[in-house]
Amino acid sequence: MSVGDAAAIYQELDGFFDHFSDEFASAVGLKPIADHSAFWNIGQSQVYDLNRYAHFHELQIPDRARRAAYLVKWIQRLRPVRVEADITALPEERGKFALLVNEQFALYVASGILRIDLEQAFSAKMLNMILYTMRYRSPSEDSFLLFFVYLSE
Amino acid sequence: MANARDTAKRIEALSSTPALQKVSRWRIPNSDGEYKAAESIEFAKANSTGFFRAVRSALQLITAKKD
Repeated sequence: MSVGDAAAIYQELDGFFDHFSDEFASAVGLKPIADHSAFWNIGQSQVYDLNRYAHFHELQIPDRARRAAYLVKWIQRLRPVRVEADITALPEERGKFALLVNEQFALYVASGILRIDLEQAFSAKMLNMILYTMRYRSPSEDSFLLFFVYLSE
Repeated sequence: MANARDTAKRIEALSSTPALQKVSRWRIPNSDGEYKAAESIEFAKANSTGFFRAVRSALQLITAKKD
C-alpha cells in the first residue's frame, strides 16, 4: 500500500470492521453498523497525515506506530461505528459496550496494525483508563504515537 | 531600518545553509518494512476473542458497584 492511497485505507478499515462487528455481535449480542462515508473520510484524512509525516522525515514507509496513531485519532473524531439500540434500556454492561463501540473499534484496529495482543499487554485497570481517556479526554495523535512506539518496542 | 535589513540578510543566509536545512529533518528509525494490511486484519481477527474478553474485564471495573 502506498502512503497516499485513501482507497486502500478504506478497504483496510472495512476489513477490520467485518471481523470486529462479527465478534462484537457474538460477545455483546448487538450488531454494530458502519458509516462507510466516514471510513472514506478517515482514509482521506489518514493520507494527508501520512504524506505530511513521511515527507518531513523523508521516510518511504511510515512506521506502524504512526499509522495506528493517526487511525485512532480519526476514528475517535469521525466515529464511524454505531449500535442501533437504546443504550439506557440495555443492561449496564451491554450499555457500556455499546457506548464505547468506537473506542473499541479504534483499539481493535490499533492492535492489528501494531500486532499487539491487548489482553496480554494491558491489565483490566489500564484498559479501563485507556477507554475512559479515549471517550472523555482529548489525547493527541502524538500521545498515541509515543504510547504505541512504547508498546511496539 | 538598517538593523532590520541586516537581520533579514542574516536569516536568509542561515536558512540557505545546507547543513542547517538538514537540522529541520529528524530521521525516525523505522525497521517496520512494507506494510501489509491483510496481515494486520488477520492478526486482529485471530486475537478477537481475547480482545473482547479484555474489554469485558475493563468494563466490569466501570460497572462494578462501589462499596
